[in-house]
Order: sequence, then C-alpha cells, then structure tokens
Amino acid sequence: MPEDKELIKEILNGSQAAMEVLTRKYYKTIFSFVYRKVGNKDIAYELTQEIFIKIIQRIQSYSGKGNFNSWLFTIAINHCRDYWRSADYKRTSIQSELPETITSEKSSVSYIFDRKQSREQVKWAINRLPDYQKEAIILKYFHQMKIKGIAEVTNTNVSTVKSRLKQGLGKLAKLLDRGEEDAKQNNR
Amino acid sequence: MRNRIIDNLADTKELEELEKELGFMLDEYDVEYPSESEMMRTINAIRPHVPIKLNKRKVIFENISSIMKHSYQEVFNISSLFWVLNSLFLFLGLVAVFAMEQSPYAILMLFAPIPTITGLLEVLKSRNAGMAELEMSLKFSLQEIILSKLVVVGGFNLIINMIFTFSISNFYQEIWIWKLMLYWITPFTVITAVSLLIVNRIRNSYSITAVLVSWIGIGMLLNQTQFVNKIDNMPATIFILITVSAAGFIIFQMKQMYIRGLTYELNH
Repeated sequence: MPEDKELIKEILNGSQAAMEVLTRKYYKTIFSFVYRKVGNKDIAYELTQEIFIKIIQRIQSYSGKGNFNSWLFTIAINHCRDYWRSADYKRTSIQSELPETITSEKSSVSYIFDRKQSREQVKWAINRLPDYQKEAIILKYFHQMKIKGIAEVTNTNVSTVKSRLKQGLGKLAKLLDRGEEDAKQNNR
Repeated sequence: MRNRIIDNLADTKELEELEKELGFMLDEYDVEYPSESEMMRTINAIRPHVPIKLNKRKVIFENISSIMKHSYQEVFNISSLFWVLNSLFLFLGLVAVFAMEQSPYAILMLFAPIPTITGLLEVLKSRNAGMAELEMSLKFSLQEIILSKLVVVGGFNLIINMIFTFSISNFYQEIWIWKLMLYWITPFTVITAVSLLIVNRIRNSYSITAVLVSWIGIGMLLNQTQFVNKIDNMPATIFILITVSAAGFIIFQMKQMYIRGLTYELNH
C-alpha cells in the first residue's frame, strides 16, 4: 500500500503526525487480535501498546518489500508468544485459574450456557485451545488471512497451518458441543 | 504425488466443513475496543520512540511542503459559503470607499481580518469532523488538516486584501500605499494570532462570535474621528512592532500545533 510506505518514510523522518496516523490505522486490527488471543481487555491494551512501541522502534528494519500488515502481525505474534513465556502471564494465569478450582469446569460451562452468553461461550472455548491452534484460527477467521499468509507470519509451513486449523477447529467444535449439552442438561 | 494431492483436497474439504459448522458461532466473539482517550494514551506513549531525524532543515521543508500540498486540496473542501461571504465583504468594502466616500484606511483596517474570522468557522468545523476526515483519508493527521485550512484561510485573506489595496491605490492617487498596507497588515496579523489561540485553546464556536462582535465594536470606534486621528498620529514603528510580535506569536503557535498536535479529546 503506497500510503503505508509514505507514512513509514515520514516516521523515519521524525514525523509524530505520521506515527499517529499509522497507529490509528492499525490499532483496532492489532488490538482485536491480541484481545482474542489473551481474552482480557486490560492485558490486551497493555500488550497492544508494547507492540506499537516495538513497531515504531523497529520501523527501520521494515524493508518495504513484503506486506506491511504481515510485518505487523509477525511482531504482534512474537510479542504475544513472549508474553506467554513471561512471569507476568504465569502470575495472571494463576490468578485467573483460582475461581475454576472452586467450581468445577462443568458447572462453570453450564453457568455460561444458562446465561445464554454465546460470546462468552466462544471466548471460553477458544481460550482452551493450545496457543498455536488458537493463533491460526484467530488469523484465519477474524482477520481473513489466507493459509499461506498465516504460515508466513507464524514462521511455519502451509501444511502445519492446515493441521493446526483442522485440530483446533475439531477441538473447538467438541468444546462448543459439550457446552451446549451441559446447557441442555442444566435446563431439564 | 497423486496421493498427496488427494490428501490435500480432503484436508481442504474437511476444513471448509468445520468452518461452515463453526463460522456463525465464531462471529459472536466480538471485541470491546479501548476508548478514544485510552488510544490517545498509547499514542503518547509511542511518541518518545519515533526516530529523530538529524537533518532538521529537510524535515521542516518536507513538513511545510506537505502542508502546502494538502492546502491545495483543502481549497476544494472549504464550503462555498466562506467564498461567497468574503466576496461580499470585499464588495461592501469597495462600495463603502467608492460610493460612500469613507476613509479607505479605516475601511481596510476594519475589513482586513474578517475573512480570517469567518475562516475560523471552517477550521472549527473541520475540528469537529476531524476524526471522520482523518479516517477517510488516513493520510493526514488532524493538526495537519487544521493547519492546511488555516493556510488556505490566511492565504485567501492576503489575496483579498491585496486586491482591495491595489484597487484603491489605482483610483485614489493621493493614497499612500505603504500606509494602506500597514493599516491592514496590523489588524490582520493580530486577529490571526488571536484566532490561532482560539482554535488551540478555547473549545466552543461561540468564541468566534465573540471575536466577530469585538471586532465590529472596534469598527464602530474607528468611525469616530477622534479615534481615527489617534491612530493616524501613531508612529509607524508601533504598527510594525505590533505586527512583528503578532507574526512571531503566529509562527510559535503553528509550530506548537504541528509538534504537539491537537488532542483528540477536544473533538469528543
């Protein structure tokens, strides 16, 4: 996209205005990706901010040849992967697991379906997928990325992406089915 | 090879089926986006990380040329009411001088800043619709759009005053052209400086009405002979000093506006 190249050129020349335009242009895209990956608004906000800081710090390394969108996603994906490995994630995940130790997973699922919160239902199911499968599904279905594009930004090959999508969607279907059954049983 | 192709097709078909099955459920997973002020906080956190270009002259030149290019586009975006209203003011000014035989100095002094004041309406309008414009173009920031409009308004004001000055000086041989220019440049720069301050600081469009009313009040004072005599007796150096100070203030304000940028919270 010529606009992106122009904006990058201006940012390299020190333009704050161009940085603002570029950030606004991609903010929602990156935020939605991170949000669906971590499932928490506050953490997604912090991570998105860190991702954009990284993008601006590394803007010189963008060669201009590839798709800028893919370059952004590569940074976002790597940053999220770093977050999973970080102490911050381990701390918050322990905190978020606490309620599940009090109530069983089954009853928590039933509660969700009782409330007919299909959004929460999908969120819950996606968050139970392994990271790589979750990543592939989010990029494919929420960001309309092609399998080849997903392979490029996740630094893998097409067949691996296909297998991640297939396994991920299979698990997702089972999780959502189980949730619906739980809801039906609870309603009886 | 043939088996691999068959496997591939089977995989794709299976994926498509799963997609069909789950697609409508995945659509439910919408996102709760951060607010405008939260997004602005992120932008401000990024600012210190924008690379600093060492060649400042080149940056200034590029920024100015970018604003000039955008100003050219903005000429076509400014509403026709602005052009019509200001052409009317020019016409009224010329009528006052030629048909009603009013003092050309006083008339020019009164009419000189009016295009800037009316232009402010255009600028504030763009500030209110700034986000929409920005999202449409995705090429210019809000402060660039506002600065470009100010350049168009200021440029048009200059042209209109030039036309006025040269029309009068052609018909009245006894008119001192330098004095005439001094009489319009002074209020023009002062009002432009005040206008910039309003656009930057004051948040509602009633402020424009206040400036317009104040200026008409000054116009009434101008009509009193005593006041005109007092101005006439003022040394040219005072006019020049006021003009230079106002011009300095204009440059400072524009620079601030470009570097810092207008906060988007003003639009909400």
